Parts: sequence; structure tokens; C-alpha cells
Amino acid sequence: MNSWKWIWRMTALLSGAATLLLAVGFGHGAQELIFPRPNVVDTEASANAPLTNREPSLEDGNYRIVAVGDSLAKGTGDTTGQGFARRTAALLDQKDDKEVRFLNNLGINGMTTRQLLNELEEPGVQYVLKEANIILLSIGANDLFQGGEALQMGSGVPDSAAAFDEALPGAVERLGEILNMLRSINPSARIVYIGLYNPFGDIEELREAGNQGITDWNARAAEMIAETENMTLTPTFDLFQRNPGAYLSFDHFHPNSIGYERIAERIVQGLE
Amino acid sequence: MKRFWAMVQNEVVKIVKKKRFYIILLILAVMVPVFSYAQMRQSLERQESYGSDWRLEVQQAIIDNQNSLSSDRVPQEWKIYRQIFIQQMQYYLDNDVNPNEPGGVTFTREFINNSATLFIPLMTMTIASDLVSSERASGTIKMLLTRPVRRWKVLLSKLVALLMFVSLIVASAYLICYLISGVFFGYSGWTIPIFTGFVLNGSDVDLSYVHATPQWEYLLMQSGLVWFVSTVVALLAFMVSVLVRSTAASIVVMMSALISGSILTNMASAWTSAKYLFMVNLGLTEYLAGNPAPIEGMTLGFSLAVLAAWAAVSVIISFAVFTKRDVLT
Repeated sequence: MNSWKWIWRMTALLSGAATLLLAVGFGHGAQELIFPRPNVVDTEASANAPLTNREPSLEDGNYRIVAVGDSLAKGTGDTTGQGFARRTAALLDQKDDKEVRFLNNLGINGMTTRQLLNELEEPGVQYVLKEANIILLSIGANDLFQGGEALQMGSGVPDSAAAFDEALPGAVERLGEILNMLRSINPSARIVYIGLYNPFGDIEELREAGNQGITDWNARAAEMIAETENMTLTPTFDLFQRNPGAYLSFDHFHPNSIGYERIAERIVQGLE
Repeated sequence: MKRFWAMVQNEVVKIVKKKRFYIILLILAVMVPVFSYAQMRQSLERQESYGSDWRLEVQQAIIDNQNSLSSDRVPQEWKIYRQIFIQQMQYYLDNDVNPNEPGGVTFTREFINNSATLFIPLMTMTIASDLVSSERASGTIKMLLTRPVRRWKVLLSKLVALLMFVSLIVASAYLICYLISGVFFGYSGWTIPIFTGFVLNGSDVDLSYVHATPQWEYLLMQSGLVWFVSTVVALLAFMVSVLVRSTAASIVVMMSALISGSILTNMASAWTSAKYLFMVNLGLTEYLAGNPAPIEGMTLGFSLAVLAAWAAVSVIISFAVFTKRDVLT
């Protein structure tokens, strides 16, 4: 019977200690959650966040690729989900004996120039951009087309010419700000801007206004990019001009897999 | 009083003799390595795609969630979860703190977080569910009641023994988890800062209460909340074991209640009066992590009150039934 007495004593002792500890934890946790203390730490920390003040990573002769911008950067419409960003990385990997790392795809569906300017303030985004030495940027289509919404909703053909004229100047200005900001975040990285194409080239009513607006945009962008060092514009306008149906996905706005592959080939040619 | 503790001792020895507690420890000792190994595989795979840089990984998680926010196919309540997740992750990045720093302590925190509503209550149930019903099934209850002791004292001694084992189960879950996962991930990580105090207003996170807590303190608070949940579940299972004649039936009743709870929390957000059910309120640790409550309007205070009310009622019913009921055959 003695061993049972011993078991009882051990159990009582251990469970008494455990109960005490757990009860203290419960009291502490309940108090923290029911009467939260206001914190003393600066919550507007993003400006002086540790990540914002980091130095860009050092050049090591390898490719470190980041894609940033809208749904094209993300790869929407590509059934394999790769988009031009990962396809570019894959093509580079095949061609070159340099090591290729695809860091992040920061593309977000529906992103406009205005939203991207806000996004670039994020310390995490800045960190990723600093880690890269090739930044693929696709932006502007949503400013000009409003995501192709007007067309998809079947609300009739928008008066495109007027809409382009209205949207263009502000958007171009913001594109300039974005390029400057990317440059100041990472002064040494190669920045590749993907030019716009006209997805409505086979729709008679939209073709002309679209073509004009897009070429305007691309010309203005090319002008800005030509002034800056280590930046390229990869044109895509011609790729989708003659036969948009073959290279666009079913939403008639984003490229399909083949379309993305063709863009990626262009990007790689520009990098070599 | 001395006699009462002798009765408790008797109950404790009975529980130990039934070897249920050893089985619980054994289950933990088998399950934890399995989960640890799975977790290790996962982190190895992540390392392949992001290098060893957690910041890239967290930023990608933010972007992926932002993308799903713009999709019409994602239900509204999921979007709220994701918005909150995004803000929390951005806070971690702003402060350059890895939310998933690998280590035995972090693994323990996450493992317990995931098992707080189902796994650990299940463990306490295995002991609670047959405390009274097994005595009835084997007929030993008559021996117990023929002693010159008031019935409520008999039941109370069982209840005290049960509560002792609840504490032991919660404590040993932590201990086993830490000791075993440490083999895989190392034993460090006690002082990593964990952010708590995310106050939720709809889909927005109020960051003015957020503060860093060392992980050991977080574990302490978490263990206390898990202990409270386990105690409530144990008391409910205890009541069922008084009411139901067979141990199997009593386990099934409690099990289905717990499982229906985890199903309901996933789909009951539109049925607001479900928040008065105890099984929806078991996720106390979610409040600590700053995750949104399954039903709008639930807070820690509310959940504690609901759980306490259910526990109190079940204790009253247990005693009322046990002291009144005739014991036949």
C-alpha cells in the first residue's frame, strides 16, 4: 500500500504546482485581454522601421528577380500561374549559367498607379525590392482601362477617346513618381518596365481610341525611362496587335500562357 | 476534512490504476513527433523556395492575401480574416520580427493553439467521461454509497480528483510538446517577442494596444486559457457521466458536442445566437493571438462568462441528480 501513498503524494504535489501556475497564467491572460494596456511603442513605425533603412543587397553576379505591379505582373490569365515574371526567370535559367532566384511576385490584381505608390511605402515591399537586382514592373493598364470592367459588364462601349485623355496625364505623372521611388529604394537594380498593349485591337469601335491612348502612354513612358540610367522599357504593343485573340486569355484583357511567354522572351532579350 | 482528502486520494489512485492518464501521455508522445516531423518537412520546403529569408515569405503571404481580397469568389467573412492577417503580418514586418521563428517554444505555442479547442479537451474527457458511469456499470457504486458518507461528498471527491488531473494533463501536454519538438527544432526561443493586444473593430485592427510579449509570458497566458477551457469541458463531461449509464454513450455525447463546435465555428457566423453555445466559445487562445472571433460580438469576457455559466449549471445538475437518484440493481 505504501507505493499508492507515494503516487498520491506525487500526484497531489505536481498537480498542485501545475494548477497554481495555470491559474496565474489564466489571471494574467484574462487581465491582459479584458483590460488591454495602451502600448508605448510608436505604431506609425513604418517610416523608421528597421527594414526601411536597410542597404540594398550586394551585387553577387546572380539574378535576383522581383515582379511588382498589377495583374500582368501577377500572371492573371496564365493557366499555369507563372506569368511573365516566372517565365522570365525560367528562360534566364536555361540560357545563362548564372544562378537565378525568383524572390517574390508582388503583383496585385487591379492595382493602379495610385495604389502602387502607397504599396511602395510598405517596409516589407521595400525590403523585397532591395534584395532584388532585377525589378519587373507592370502598371498603368488599370488606370487607363479601369480593369476592362466597362467592357465586361456589357454596359456598352465607353467613350474611350475621352476617357483616355482624362486618365492619361495624371497616370503618367504617377508612373514617373513610381520609377523615381523604385530608383531611390534600390539605386543599383535593373528596372524593366513592361509597356502596354491594346487588348481591344479586334473590336472595331475600340481599336482606334485604344491604339492612340496606348501609344501615347508608351511614348511618354519611354521618354521618362530613356532619361534614367539602368532602366528599360520592354514593348508589348506589337505582340498583341495583329491577332489578339490568339494571345489573350478568355477574359479578353490579360495575356494567356503563350502571350506571357512571348513577353518573357522579350524581357530576356532586353536583359542580355 | 482529513477524511475528505482520504476520499480524494482514493479517487486519484483509482484514476491512476485505470491507466487512462498513461494512455494520454502515450498519445501525446506519439502525436507530437508526427506533427514535429510534418512541420519540419514544411519548413524545409519553404526554405527551398524562399532561401532562409522569412521576410520574403511573409511579404509574399501578404500579397497573396491581398490578391484574394479582390476576388469575388471569396466569402465576406474570410476577407475580414485576411484583412486582419495582412495588418498583423505588416506589423511584424514593420518591426522586423519573424512571426514563425522556428524553435521548440514556437512549435509548442502553435501546437497548443491548434489543439486547444479539440485535442486537449478530448484528453481531459477520457478521464472525466467514465468517473461516475464506470462505477455504475461495474456496480461498485453501491459499495461507495453504502459507506457512512454523504453522497455529495462522494461526488465532490471525484470532482476534485478530476480537476487535479486536468491541470496535470494541460501541464504535461506543454512539457511533452516542448521536450519532443526540441529534438527537431532546438530548445531555444523563450524570449522571442510575440505581439498581442490586436483589438479588432470589424475588419480593422486597432494597433494602439499592440505590444510585444516575450514568448514565455505568452505561453503562460495561453496555458491559463487552455486550462480554463479544459476545466469547463471536464465539468461538462463529468455531468454527462453522472447522467448517462454507459461510459461509451457518455464519451460519444461529449465528442459530438466538441466536434459540432469546431464545425459550427466555421460556418455559424450568420447565426448569431449560436454564440451562447459552449462549444463555439472554446477558442479562447484565438483572442490572445488576435484572430477574429467566429461570431461577431464575441469577446474574451463574453466567452469566459458563457463557459463559466455552462460549467456552473453542469456542476449544479451533477450534484442535484447524483444526490437524488435511486441506485437500482
